Amino acid sequence: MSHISVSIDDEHLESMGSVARALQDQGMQVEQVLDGVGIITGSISEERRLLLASVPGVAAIADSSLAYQLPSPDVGIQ
Amino acid sequence: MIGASPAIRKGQRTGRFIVVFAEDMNRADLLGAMRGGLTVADSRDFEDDNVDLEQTTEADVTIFSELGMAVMTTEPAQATAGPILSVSPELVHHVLPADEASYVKGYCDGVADLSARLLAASQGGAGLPAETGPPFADTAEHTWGLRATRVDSSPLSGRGIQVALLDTGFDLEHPDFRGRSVTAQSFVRGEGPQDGHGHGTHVVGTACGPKNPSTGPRYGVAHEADLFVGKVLSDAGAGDDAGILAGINWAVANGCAVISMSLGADVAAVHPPYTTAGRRALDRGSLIVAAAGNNADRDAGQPGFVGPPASSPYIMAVAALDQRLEVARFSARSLPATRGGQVDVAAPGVDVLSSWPMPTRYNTISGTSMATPHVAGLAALWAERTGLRGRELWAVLSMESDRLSAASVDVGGGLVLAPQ
Repeated sequence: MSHISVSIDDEHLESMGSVARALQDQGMQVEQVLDGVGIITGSISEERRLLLASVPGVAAIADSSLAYQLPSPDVGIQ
Repeated sequence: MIGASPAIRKGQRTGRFIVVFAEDMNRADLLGAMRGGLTVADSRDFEDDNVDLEQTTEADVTIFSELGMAVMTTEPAQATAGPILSVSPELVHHVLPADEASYVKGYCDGVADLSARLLAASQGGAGLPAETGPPFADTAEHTWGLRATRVDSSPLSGRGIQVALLDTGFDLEHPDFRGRSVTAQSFVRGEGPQDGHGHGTHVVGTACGPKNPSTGPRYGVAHEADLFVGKVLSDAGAGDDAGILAGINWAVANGCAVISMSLGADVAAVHPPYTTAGRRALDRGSLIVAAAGNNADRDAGQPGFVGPPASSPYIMAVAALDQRLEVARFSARSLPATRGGQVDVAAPGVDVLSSWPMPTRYNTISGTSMATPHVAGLAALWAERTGLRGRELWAVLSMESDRLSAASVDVGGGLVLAPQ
């Protein structure tokens, strides 16, 4: 399973719930439907990932597994 | 300049005058101000405001309604009635000089100017006054960052502007923020919005700290802005894409004009989720600013690179400046040959004093994390002043920044300044 973010095209911004259900039907575990920015986050197995691209409303699929780490509070450059 | 005669070219003026009107003048006022025996042509008399200059040659005055300007053939003294802001001689603009001799002379002038500039630079005489004077320093009244960005003399406060800071949360009990409007939400599992690190409280302070803190100099820019604190980094300083995207979504949904993110990953690429998020945020009137990154070690000859989320073309990447307005040694450089991976603007980011969780109260630290909330606060001031949002607010910040001698790959369009 890999974490992904699915960008929704402009035409489907008003119907992201339906797109999320269609993504679930293809095996995606949907975690967040972010209607302010038109992104659905979640995870999917590598073998099923390609299936998501054919879901109507999907503009792009990207890995979203970057980690962010601040230095500890006592470090001078933050 | 098409059709200009040699005689006019020699004088550099057409003999006509350009009049600029007060902004709030309506059509009747314009005509009233300009009439008095003069023939008047109004751009609104032509289809779609397309003025055909051939048709207007007989008119003494041609009014360009959309520009609030007019060109007139008579002496300026005849146009003193009405709210006129300025009258200037119309100048002739050349595409190229007319003959070879003047072209060569122009070329010589250009080379002379260039050589003078290069010689001055090699003798250390180049640079802006702010860069050649003494370095900025904190005073009893203001931090050096507020002085360099001219916040200390700005009448704006960010009142009515919603500013989101996505970070490690905020010390909700900090005495400097008593009575302020603060909306706080955590996107970190198992942790509330209270700041257990310090970084978040520091950036909130720089962007939106009070005009009169309990002790010490003023350190905050938009002191009357409405605060939206989104915790997307844990007390241990760790976060992931899902939490950051959720925070952006929350800020956009709440109508925040400015979203500040002092965070980044050391990855030399554009990260697609932030391209989408940044573009949609701008579409909905939210400007995202993010730290360029601290992965440079310029003393060792390593300029670093801008990473996500600042590497998104739709997110404003902020570099850090020192007290001499030179790029900080840790401040990352634009990502080579990558659309969007560039530094966009710069702000103070060395030895920045701001709020810190109690009982420590204040802390002075450095980083592009500290430069970013300066720009967020300044964006709130410009949003208040102009009423503009999204891409237009971005454009205002770019227009209203001071160009620096440092390379644009390091400082972008330069030092962002406060409205006066």
